[in-house]
Amino acid sequence: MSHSRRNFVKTLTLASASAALLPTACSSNKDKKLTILHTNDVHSHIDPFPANDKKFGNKGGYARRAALVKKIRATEPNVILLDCGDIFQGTPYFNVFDGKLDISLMSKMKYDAATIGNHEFDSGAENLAERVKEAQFPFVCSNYDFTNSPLESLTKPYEIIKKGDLKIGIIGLGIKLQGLVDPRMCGNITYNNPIEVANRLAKKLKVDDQCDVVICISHLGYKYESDKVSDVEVATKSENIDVILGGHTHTFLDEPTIVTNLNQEPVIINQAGWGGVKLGRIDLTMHAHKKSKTLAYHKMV
Amino acid sequence: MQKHFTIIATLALLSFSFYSCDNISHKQHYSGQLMSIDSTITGNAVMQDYIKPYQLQLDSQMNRVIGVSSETLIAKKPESPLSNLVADIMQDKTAEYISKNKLESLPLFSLVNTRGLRSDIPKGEVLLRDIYEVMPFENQIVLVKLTGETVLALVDHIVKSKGDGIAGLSFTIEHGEAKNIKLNNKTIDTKAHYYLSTSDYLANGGDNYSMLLNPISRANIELKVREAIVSHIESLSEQNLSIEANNNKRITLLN
Repeated sequence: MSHSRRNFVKTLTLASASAALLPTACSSNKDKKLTILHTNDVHSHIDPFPANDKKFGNKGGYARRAALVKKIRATEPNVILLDCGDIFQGTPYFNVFDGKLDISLMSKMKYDAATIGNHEFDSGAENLAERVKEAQFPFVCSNYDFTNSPLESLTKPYEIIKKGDLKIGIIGLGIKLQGLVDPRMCGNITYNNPIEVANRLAKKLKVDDQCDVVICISHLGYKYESDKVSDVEVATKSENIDVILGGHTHTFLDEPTIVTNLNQEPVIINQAGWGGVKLGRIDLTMHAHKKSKTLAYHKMV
Repeated sequence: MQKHFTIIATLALLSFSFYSCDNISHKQHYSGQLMSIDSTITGNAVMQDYIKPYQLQLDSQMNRVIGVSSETLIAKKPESPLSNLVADIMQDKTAEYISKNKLESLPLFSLVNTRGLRSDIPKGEVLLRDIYEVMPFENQIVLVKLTGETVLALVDHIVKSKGDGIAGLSFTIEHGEAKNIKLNNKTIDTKAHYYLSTSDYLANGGDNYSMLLNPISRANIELKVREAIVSHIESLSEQNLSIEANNNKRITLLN
């Protein structure tokens, strides 16, 4: 498909959508707002870091995060809470309780979805399968094929979550496990190309399923010097993805990064460091009478 | 198909020109931030109560003083007091295993991945908890027999990884290449055999140490890396000794 043809189709979608919605949209010009909250690489930091920790003394903790999330849910109309993997491993809580406590706290906090990070396999695939079964939220893994593994049919390739009258499509991208996770721990998993999978599913979610927003929760890592697939690379080579929330590289982004995708549209990338010392937050405002193929965000001053 | 598209496009154009409310910019807004989770937030009481029994069980298992450290030991690349310490301990424990099991006598060195050491050993009293945080993984120490050729490939990978914890091995890095490579203070013979003490994680090709996947032989010394560290610190304590940093150079960066 030539570049100009692609642009034509995009304009068409935009225009036809607004044509259909215009008569009512003029009278009710109400904005739709979505508040995205996200964590990554919490690494079993159930309690706040000890006071004498040089970097994060007395920061973090699940109970405080729960309080903050509750406060935001009380004031914002549509809140979605997501985790980008490496929930497990890093404090003795994981060694002693195998991630059971982490999953039950995330369920109590009403996480909407999470994806699997490489450290989720640290007690083996069977243990992870038990935790995934216990979780009261879905694990979205789009590019791992778990056929013949203990995780087979326990995760979702994508998920559609409704918040108010907003339809949010979720894709989950996992990192290549070979050379990173002991093969005896993760078992039989096929890693598929995250960019191909993400684009195929994002198109389905945005175009076929008419999602207002498509969010990718990723454990690929923010950016690499090498040619390893990263969130920035996925964003650059993507279509139909609005937001990429990341993990793995423990990156604290002072503000989200905006990357231009294949169609010169902006993609928002964010990552909230690690250890649960930060809660990532992105607020999106969409005009009610617009149902565009891709959101054209502008930074709110 | 093309015709259908054209009709919608025309309709759309019409509606754009007729409806003035479409002058509302179709700019959509976002704002983003990382919110701090700190002591200004009072933790959710229900959740705190839920965590409490787990916390108490953990404290009773983990808050046992196992030794004293003369200073804070950190792990960083290319080399550091903590990665040196762990590599030394692995080499010592493996040497004990070799002599106890009367194995062939070969030059022995050790390797630990620095990024696998996840925290510091604090100055002063060291709790069992601290060692779990340094080495949270259940990695076992394994003994692998390698040819000198494989050892050189391994050294290349250490250089590429910008350093890892080693003992019994030393080299300099000049312009991104390993020079003056010495194993037990001797030049490596590509045809000779050597013993490496490392974790099963690296021996299984973790951190892209794929050259370790097909060794001449491999044995599990039936000791976890963490158990080895704890046992070393406890034996120092029994002799009233504290953990000292070992700053002797193994990897020297020139340029």
